[in-house]
Amino acid sequence: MTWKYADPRTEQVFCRIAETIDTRSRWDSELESMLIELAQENSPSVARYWARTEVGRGIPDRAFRQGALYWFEDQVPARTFKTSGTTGAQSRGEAHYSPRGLELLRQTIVGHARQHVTPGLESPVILRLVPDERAVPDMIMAYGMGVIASELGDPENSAVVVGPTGVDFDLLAERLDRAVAADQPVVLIGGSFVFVNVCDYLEGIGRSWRLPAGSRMIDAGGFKGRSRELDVDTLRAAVGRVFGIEASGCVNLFGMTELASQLYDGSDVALGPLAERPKGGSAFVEPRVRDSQTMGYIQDGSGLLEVADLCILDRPYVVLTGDLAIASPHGVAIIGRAERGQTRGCSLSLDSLTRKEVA
Amino acid sequence: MTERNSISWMPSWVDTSGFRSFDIGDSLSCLQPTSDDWPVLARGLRRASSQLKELSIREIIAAIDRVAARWCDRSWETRQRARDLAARATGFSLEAIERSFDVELRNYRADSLWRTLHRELGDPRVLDGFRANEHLDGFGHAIGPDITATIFTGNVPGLPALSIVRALLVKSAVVAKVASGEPSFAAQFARSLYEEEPRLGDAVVVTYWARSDQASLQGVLGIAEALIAYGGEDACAAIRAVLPDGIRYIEHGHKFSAGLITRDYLLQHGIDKVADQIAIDVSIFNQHACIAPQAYLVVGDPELTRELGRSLARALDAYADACPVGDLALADAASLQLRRADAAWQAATDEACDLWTSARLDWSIALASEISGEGGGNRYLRLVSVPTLDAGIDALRPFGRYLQNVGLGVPREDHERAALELARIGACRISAPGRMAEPSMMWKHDGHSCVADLVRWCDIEMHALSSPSPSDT
Repeated sequence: MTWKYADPRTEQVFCRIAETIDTRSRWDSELESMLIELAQENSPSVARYWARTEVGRGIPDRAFRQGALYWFEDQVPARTFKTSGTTGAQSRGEAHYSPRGLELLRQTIVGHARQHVTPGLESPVILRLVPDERAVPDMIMAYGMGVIASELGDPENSAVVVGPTGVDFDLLAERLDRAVAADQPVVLIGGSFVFVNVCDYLEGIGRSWRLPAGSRMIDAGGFKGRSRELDVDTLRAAVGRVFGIEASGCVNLFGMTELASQLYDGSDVALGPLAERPKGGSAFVEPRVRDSQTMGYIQDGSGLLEVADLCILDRPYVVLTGDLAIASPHGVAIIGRAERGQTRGCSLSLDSLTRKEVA
Repeated sequence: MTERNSISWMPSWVDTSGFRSFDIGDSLSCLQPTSDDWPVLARGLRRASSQLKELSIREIIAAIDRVAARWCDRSWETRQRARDLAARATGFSLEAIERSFDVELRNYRADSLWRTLHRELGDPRVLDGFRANEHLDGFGHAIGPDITATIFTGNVPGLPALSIVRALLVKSAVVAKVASGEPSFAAQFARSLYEEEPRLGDAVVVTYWARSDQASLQGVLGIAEALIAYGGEDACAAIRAVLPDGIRYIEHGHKFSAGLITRDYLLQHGIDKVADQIAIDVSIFNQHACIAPQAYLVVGDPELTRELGRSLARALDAYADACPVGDLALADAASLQLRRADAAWQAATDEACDLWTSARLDWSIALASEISGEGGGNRYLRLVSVPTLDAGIDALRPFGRYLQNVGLGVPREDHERAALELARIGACRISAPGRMAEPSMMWKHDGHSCVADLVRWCDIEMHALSSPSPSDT
């Protein structure tokens, strides 16, 4: 029987998630069972998918492109985020949030950020190298970084330093100068590749700062598939030269529209081919690696990334993200996208080409 | 001359002392000329080409035929060695490599080569000198380039022989750049040419350079008069961007192949038999070749397509028993698992869809609502039900620019119309289901005359001495 949004059981799961975020330190498998039951009852598609594969198998990221995966017919979504969708509007994935789901999203973002973005810092200056969320209301990274800045940052000196035409270097410099003068730690937060471009530009014009002790750089995403692939330590070195941020103050986060929680670097072991650091889990979000031959879970070695995120109330809590990852005792390093269609010589990988033509 | 464990091949006349030498993996090595070496190599290659031009086409074909005959013998030590190296590089099972070699290398037997030249040039002896041509009312002579460069991909074991042979047929020396995905076959093939006819082997350089190594690419393009390149969209675009003026360029870029069969064909031949045929089309070269179907369109009742899917599962299983796919590398296995997950999701959300898979990664069949340009290979086939033959042709229409090989199974009365329509929308090869993976040497590969496009002609006409006497024709 379908669970309504108004159903007391939904309220119960909501409270359990909130409690897990706030208080638990170990994986909440009881909550996972509740989310499995919710999914099976509210989505015949998920039930059938799990019957074909196995219960709890990650829903492929592509599934989110094919119409709403949203559990509650009796509740209009309060907010919808969309994937970046480089291949046409029709193929953009969507993640809908009910009011309760949105509240949990805020809680998991803030909970994780306290732990990984601003530990030991009191109201740092948070400078976002992503557009303001009002300019891109369906971009979850802009929303999440906005939440972090508004909840944990110094309201007076924090700012978005990306405008419609790109990075506002004057504003960035002004805020950094001010923070240095006030000896106030700064958290720079944005996409990995944006940092590369910003560092390139600032080094090119000979600008650099020694930001106050405790300052950090939080970069999201990675480099795989970009025109220029940089290893983690090269980026950290550039950030050190330009901003005076120690390597130990640099943290990478992995997030995706389909998930609510983020995964942060959990240890400083250079594990991936671009020295990607392993991500850690928590009581409510866990990176898992499936063997690419058998799809069984592995604790050591390379395979497909699956993320189980117990903070998701409104849609599948577990996603086969489409990324490759390395499992290790230190955590899970995410090492880039797995391509459905391999490019191999004269055989084809026409995905983007034909989609353009068909459209 | 180079070591047997080298992926490069250098003619006997080359002084390799200044070349860069590096190892690939734990057992293979490579010699790579530096950019300063190419002009020197060019002089030697032009001499080698002159020596080829002294040979008659009959002698060249006879020599290549002797080499091909050896390659067609599964028990030949050189072939076994090449097979083992290719299996290690590609992850293909040994039997998958054997079948690839079987299909590829028989094309270089004499009969096939003669037919190819007859089809492309009319009279093969135009390669030896001026030959009378009654349509011209004169004489024509076809002259191949002195040096043809080739850039290979590693998707099809044995494929590098094709372009090397085409160039040698027109008496051109060859500089071949192998692919990192399967780097070893070309050098083995060049060595076998040398062993049979040193003048052939001495006209071939096989080496490797990284795609980012623009200096090597430019060095080779600077000495070549023709270039044959295989590659993906990006790789080919990068090559086109640096092509020197006047170079003859033959490109084998991205392609899309599919099958199209009707209910009547299925019933006439029997579903199980057609499934066996499709299993061959999908499995040879592990579906890495451009000629391999990514999808089969089935005209008729959707239930019939589902029935074919079930039969195909049996057929692919049987094929894999005799010829497994091999050991897929992480990226390939991950790609396959994601495609399977997508199809499992489709099947869960749309009753018209389904998915059959082997216990391991040997094969996958997705009953899908539409064909997709997304390839990936490794025996993953989409079966798509379409209501009419026209709808099937229409489904292929968006792929027109990339459409290559169509396995066409329709009743005789529909065959000509369907073939014409497919040709007009872009197909360049139409074969029976089950024969998609066997393109002949005579086929106009990707729609081109791949031998004729290499040559330059000189005609004698409007000349007192140009009227052929009866004995000349």
